[in-house]
Amino acid sequence: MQVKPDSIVFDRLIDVSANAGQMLGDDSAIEIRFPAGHMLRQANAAADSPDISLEDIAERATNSGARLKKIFYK
Amino acid sequence: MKLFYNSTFNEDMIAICAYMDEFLGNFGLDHAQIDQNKIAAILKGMRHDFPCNGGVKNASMFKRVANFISYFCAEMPIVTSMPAGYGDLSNCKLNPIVAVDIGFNSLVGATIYKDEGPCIIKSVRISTHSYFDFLDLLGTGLSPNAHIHWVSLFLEQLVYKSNEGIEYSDFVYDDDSWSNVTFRMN
Repeated sequence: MQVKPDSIVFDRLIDVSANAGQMLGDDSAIEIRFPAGHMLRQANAAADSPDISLEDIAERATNSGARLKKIFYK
Repeated sequence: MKLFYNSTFNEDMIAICAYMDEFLGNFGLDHAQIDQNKIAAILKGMRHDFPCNGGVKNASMFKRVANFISYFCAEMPIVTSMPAGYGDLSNCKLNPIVAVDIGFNSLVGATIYKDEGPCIIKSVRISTHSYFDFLDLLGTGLSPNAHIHWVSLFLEQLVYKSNEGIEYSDFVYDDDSWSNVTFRMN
């Protein structure tokens, strides 16, 4: 997982998750630039990990995304 | 932590956003617009009015994943369009692609409980042809309550096809049912 300091981070998403039940305003679409691994570092502090870790989830997503790209991207 | 149906909405939100973050970046997108309200609506909606006796707690993994996919494809939280350059996949919508990927990754590693004992889903296989058909279907606009059972049934059969011996063995129709049928080539 790459972390670049200039990535736009998921701070607002973390805000949402930290305030479960509270909906955002109308302008909810945000632009995310990749890689945005900074979000995961923040999320780790907030999440319990009873089954698999957030890193495991991220690793599956990484592998899955890269594999689909390899199959289809020309 | 699971991808969804964690003990709290908070964890669901983190897991799904983290997954989308990593998936989309490694899929080749350098940016994406995500509607946070819709992500929240998906993760909340699928916790309520679960269309299964006993609710989420008694639902199979197939129904849980189908419910997620149905809600995701109904809400379409990814604003960004599928980019060019991915061959025929570029003609598909990005939201079903992500929903299916999350769904399949939720199924693999999950446990099915049968009378003979628990079985772990080790694989989900789908051909390119069926994959595109599935994406097209999901991209037509779903109503979670109306379509969850169809999606669940498809996922279940896909898992049975991909994992030998995992299906229930009390068949209504099996090879013996057709043993006396004569086939003719035209």
